[in-house]
Amino acid sequence: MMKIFKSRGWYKFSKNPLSVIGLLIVSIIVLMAIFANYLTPFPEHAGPFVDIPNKIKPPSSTYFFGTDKIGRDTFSRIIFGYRTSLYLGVIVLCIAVPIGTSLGLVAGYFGGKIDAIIMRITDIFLSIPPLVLALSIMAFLKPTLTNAMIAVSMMWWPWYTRLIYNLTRSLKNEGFVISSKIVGASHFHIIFREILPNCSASLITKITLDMGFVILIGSSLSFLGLGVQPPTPDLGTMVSQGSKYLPDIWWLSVFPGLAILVIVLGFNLLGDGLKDLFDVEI
Amino acid sequence: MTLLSIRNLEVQFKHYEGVTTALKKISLDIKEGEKVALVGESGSGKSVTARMILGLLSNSNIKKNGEIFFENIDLLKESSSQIKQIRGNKISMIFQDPVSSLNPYFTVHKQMLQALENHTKDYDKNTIEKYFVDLLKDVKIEDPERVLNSYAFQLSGGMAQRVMISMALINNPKLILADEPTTALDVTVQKKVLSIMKDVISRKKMSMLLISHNLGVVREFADKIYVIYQGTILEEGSTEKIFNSPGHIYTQTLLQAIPKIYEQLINAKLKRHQNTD
Amino acid sequence: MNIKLYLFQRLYSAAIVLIGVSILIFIIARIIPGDPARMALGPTATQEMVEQYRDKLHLNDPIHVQYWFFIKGITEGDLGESVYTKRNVTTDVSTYFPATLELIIFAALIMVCVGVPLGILAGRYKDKSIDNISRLISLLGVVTPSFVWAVFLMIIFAFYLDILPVAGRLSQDTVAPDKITGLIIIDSIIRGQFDVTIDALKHIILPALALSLSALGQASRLTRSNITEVYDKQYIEMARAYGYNEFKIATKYALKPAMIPTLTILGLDFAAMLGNAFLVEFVFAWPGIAKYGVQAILYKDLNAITATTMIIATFFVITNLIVDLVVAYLNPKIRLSGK
Ligand SMILES: Nc1ncnc2c1ncn2[C@@H]1O[C@H](COP(=O)(O)OP(=O)(O)O)[C@@H](O)[C@H]1O
Ligand SMILES: [Mg+2]
Repeated sequence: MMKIFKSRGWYKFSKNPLSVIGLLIVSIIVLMAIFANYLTPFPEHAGPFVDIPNKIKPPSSTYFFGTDKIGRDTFSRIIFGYRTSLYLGVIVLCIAVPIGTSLGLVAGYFGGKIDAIIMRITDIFLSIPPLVLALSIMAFLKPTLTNAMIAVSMMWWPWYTRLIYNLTRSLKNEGFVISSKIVGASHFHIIFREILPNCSASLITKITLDMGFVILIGSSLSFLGLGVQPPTPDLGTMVSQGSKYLPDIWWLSVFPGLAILVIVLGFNLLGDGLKDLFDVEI
Repeated sequence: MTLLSIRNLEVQFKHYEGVTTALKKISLDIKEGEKVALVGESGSGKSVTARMILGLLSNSNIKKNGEIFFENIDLLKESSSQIKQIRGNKISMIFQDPVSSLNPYFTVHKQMLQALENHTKDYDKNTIEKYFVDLLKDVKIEDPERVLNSYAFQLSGGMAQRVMISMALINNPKLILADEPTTALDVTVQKKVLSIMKDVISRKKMSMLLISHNLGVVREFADKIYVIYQGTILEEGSTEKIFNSPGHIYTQTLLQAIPKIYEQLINAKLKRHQNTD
Repeated sequence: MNIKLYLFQRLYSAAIVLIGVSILIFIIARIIPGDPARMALGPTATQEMVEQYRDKLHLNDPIHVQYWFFIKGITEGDLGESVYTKRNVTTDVSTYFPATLELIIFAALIMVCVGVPLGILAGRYKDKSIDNISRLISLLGVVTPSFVWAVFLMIIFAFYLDILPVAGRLSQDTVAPDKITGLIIIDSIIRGQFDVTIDALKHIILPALALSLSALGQASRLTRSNITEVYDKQYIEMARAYGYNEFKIATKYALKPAMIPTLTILGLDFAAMLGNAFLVEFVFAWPGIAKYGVQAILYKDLNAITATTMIIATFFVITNLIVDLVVAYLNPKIRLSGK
């Protein structure tokens, strides 16, 4: 691990202000989301809280981003919304990455019929616009956070299959893989001990980039009312509900919208930095 | 009469780590109808010389000094639009790798026509096809019509280089610069392309600057030879003089290297054949 | 590879993908828990009504028979009746699809007319300010969901500056021209009702812009990288050595090699706009297929959902196929292969 900090990649990463900004954005948001109960001014506003006297207050020093129709603090709700987004992102990737990666490893390593079948199915998934696929899955499910996670995972694994497939195909012909084959190592050993570790840099980079995009798609689903349901605070839902009160109560949609932009930007910049750090192509 | 005269040309490239001096005050003359060779090992500054003549190296991190007189005007002081008038017109250039020097998205015909139209809009549309066909026949292409309608990737290296030669001839230039015109070709066709090029240029009484890293290649070709080493002209003289009584020790080593270079080329080619088999 | 073989392969894999998509949608619609008939009819319907409806949807038949009816419906263009509108979903789709098509065509025009020249300039003036601007647009485009763009654009142009309308395809008092293509802008031009054209243009700008922004940045970055790649090629130096002027090189000699590979991705981006159209149509109350689709989802309208997804997937696959064929035609390396 220490080796990384001495590498040329780390030098490039730390010299690029954008990567560092990305790292900062992501760290701050993650910390705020984890400790939201202590760091937000009104943690109780995350739930079904009502404070009619303070409703529709514009941004002020008490309510940084104003309050909504029933007096809840937008800032606090955004931070709790980040918690929902990150939760969704982590779970989706925890489902999609192992599925996609193992299919890619199997298809790339064994080749032949199994390769053809897996990659054809992958192509089919990839040939429907991602959001449309998630929507058509959501169409048959109740709109809840769990179901949104299932729907997004369903559309996300093929990207990992394709990435790992290509990596495996080229690694398969590398000297160290061939030599361990000659020594008589098992397929299991070669796949998980030789090939997979060599994919890890690409995987970590892609996961970082995708964290942002999964959050983006998740917020799109809840924006359409097909994801997280109120009163759970969610950025997409907030934009959607806030946009009904444009232009007078503009802060209800503008700040959550900016909040989505910032978190996706953060993961994107960080991911680009990791690309330099590990020197990989995604 | 002197056609091209390079006087004390110095070229430097600026980059992160400092400055590289590619040419150190070199001087070189080409008379009308004369075939001159510039010989030196890779990295000695040959290509830079050719590119300087056509003004192809002109960005901000390059520093140049000296003069390049062509028909008594200094090319280094010309405006870019005037240089453009000369490029491909009075001076044309043949590049090292013919296949990648032709645009893969346009036919040979289209590119020849464009090379012509860059300098004259005033030609007879009815006879132009025949003119191109004749030019291709000049370089011993047997099926010029097919070649005219081909794309670069449909031609072999030797064929593409012959196309390049006829393209260089289109506007009847005074001077042709050929930068390692046969290096990228198979050894077997190198000699043929060279002799075709020599014939047509002699017949049309053009001048030529032939650039090569191989003294053997220029022997039957050049009237005069310049030997360049690390941006400096070490020796100049008639071909006979250079071969019979080389003045500089470096020239002697170049001469000794001739068979070796051929051997290497042949070995490399053999290896390639074995690999493809 | 032979060009005929290439064409055949492209057609074949497009067909495979479409069959795969139909199976996928079919499976999704069947394996998911819950009775579609019950969901469609609501909790107040009697068991008898539900059974009847199940029969109508062929839900009581074995699974392969169901799939057979499903495919038969698709090939005959009869995808059943919508529970919500009570019309044939094919009719519904053909009513709503032109609005979406008009929107994404317009968005694609913005993407191409702004993104490509921006990319060319960025490629020619690498690391200068135009390059940084294009990089910024691309980054913002990628990280901002199109519904957020939609909200921002609406606030700025419709409310703050108040120069463009907020919602819909036409103003309240404007009457749509009689349908020819279903694309109001084109129909109104054909019928010579230019005031309608202008009104329609005013309405389409914001949603199209919101839709194009994420694709636009990508298009310009892609064009940029292809342009820089081409400018490093030997044949560009060769062109300079033969007296081509820079304008000619930029607009023709380098453009063709750079744009042909870009075309494939532009095609993908164009088709992918159908996905984001869902979000943008929602904000701008655009009466398109996406709005219909969301409605279908909310009402658990099985046939309408299937039809919408199938239409979008087909559009996606066919667009890609057309782009591939155009590229094959424009690229002599593919067109002449095997001859
Ligand atoms: N565009 C350039 N930028 C920086 N250095 C260059 C450039 N072109 C050539 N050089 C340097 O100039 C020297 C001479 O190069 P060149 O003329 O290409 O050699 P050759 O004799 O093999 O043709 C080399 O050291 C090369 O690195
Ligand atoms: Mg050279």
